[in-house]
Amino acid sequence: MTQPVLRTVVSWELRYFFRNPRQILLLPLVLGGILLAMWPHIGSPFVPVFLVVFLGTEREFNNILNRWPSQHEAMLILPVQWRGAVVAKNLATILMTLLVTMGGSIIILYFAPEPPSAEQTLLALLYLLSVLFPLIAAGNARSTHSPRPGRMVDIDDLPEAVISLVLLGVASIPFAVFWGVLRSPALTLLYSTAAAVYWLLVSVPRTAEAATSSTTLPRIMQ
Amino acid sequence: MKAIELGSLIKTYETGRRALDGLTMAVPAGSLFGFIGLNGAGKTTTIRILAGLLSADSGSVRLFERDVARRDRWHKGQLGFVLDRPVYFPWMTGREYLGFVGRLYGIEPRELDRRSEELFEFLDLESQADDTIDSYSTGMGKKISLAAAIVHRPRLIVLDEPLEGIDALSAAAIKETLSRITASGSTVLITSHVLDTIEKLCTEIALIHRGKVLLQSTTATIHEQAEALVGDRQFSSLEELFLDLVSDRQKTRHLSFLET
Repeated sequence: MTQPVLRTVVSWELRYFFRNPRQILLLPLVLGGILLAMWPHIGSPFVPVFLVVFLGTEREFNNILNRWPSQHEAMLILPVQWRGAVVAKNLATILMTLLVTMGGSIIILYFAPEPPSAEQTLLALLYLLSVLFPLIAAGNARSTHSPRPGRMVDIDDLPEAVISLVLLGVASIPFAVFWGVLRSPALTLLYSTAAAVYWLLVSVPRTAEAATSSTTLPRIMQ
Repeated sequence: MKAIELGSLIKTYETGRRALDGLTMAVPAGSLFGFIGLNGAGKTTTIRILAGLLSADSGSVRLFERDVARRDRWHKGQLGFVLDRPVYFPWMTGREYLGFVGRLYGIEPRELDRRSEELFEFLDLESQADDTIDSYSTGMGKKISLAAAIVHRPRLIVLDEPLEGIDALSAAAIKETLSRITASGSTVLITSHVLDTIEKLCTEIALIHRGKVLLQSTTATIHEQAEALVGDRQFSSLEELFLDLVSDRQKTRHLSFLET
């Protein structure tokens, strides 16, 4: 996929994210995050931030082929190079996650009883890095196995949100081991790099292949 | 040269309904080809297979003498589609949609702007170019789909019911454009329920019924071909010919409650 085309896909995915009225759902999540941040036993104030971020952007991870209704079908008609398109869509997910993390952090941390320490902030960054690519790879798999091509808000969103929390829990285990038990930022970074390599070399081609396979094609007229 | 060659296409849906039952058809390059049949005859299934939205169970699909694999990007660059149910991005404005599609086809931004302006003017969409597509009427939706289908100057344009829901003025403009497109060497495959339009517009016609091509001929000779097929009956119009070939003569067509 050429640079201008890659830019086109990333830019339109982001534009849709910000134009989508569905993002209004972020408001009650942020309110819940603020309440959670006020709880004295929460530990790091970044815990509610990440809960809000990953619940609020669940669909951006787990439904990349159909970010808007019929997107998969429409893009199948166009001369899309699917590996490039999956990379572009995943890059858009990373940017969305970072933007929501920044926005969510500013609001939620403002209401937290204590401002986060420098160590807590660095740990939060390390944690985000360790879970981001595993969640993207898992989301790519869910996008092809359980595509949600229909409306902007779907009944399937609820069980998917639960699945998303489970996936977040599983994706957090390596961080808990490499940092929580072994106290090794180097191992955590090494793991994060390995996850990024897995995403690029395994998840992207697999998703691109599935995007055009007969089992994933939109089931219209069938 | 053939623009499309379909060989023994078979497609059965999960419901068990066989949509294509060995469909074989060839569309000559540069022709304005009419593809007609009853609802459920297999037209849309054929078009969706051409578009890569469905895969056939068996059979071959060749475009411009090249086998088509669904993952092959080459053929998508040669094609433009207006589907029965247009697939576009309703949250974009018409201008944004053409910009998005044009960039994916690799058209340079300046050239894309020029073509877009021309298309909006030609299709009488200038005043709605900056409105979101979800505010468009059915006819306007068809028009923006048509604009997106031809913005990259494809060699083959496939239009499934492009004139449905379009006002007479735009329909006339579109028909004239299709004739011009074929005059410039491109191929157009069109389906329509308006058989009179097909007969006047197309150079060649294929009649599909129950997933098979019943008859394919140039428009000039289709009556002779049909007459040879059914015996010595004569047909005054394509509609009469069509009805004779596809109607089920054994089926009683009446509504008993209207006759009492």
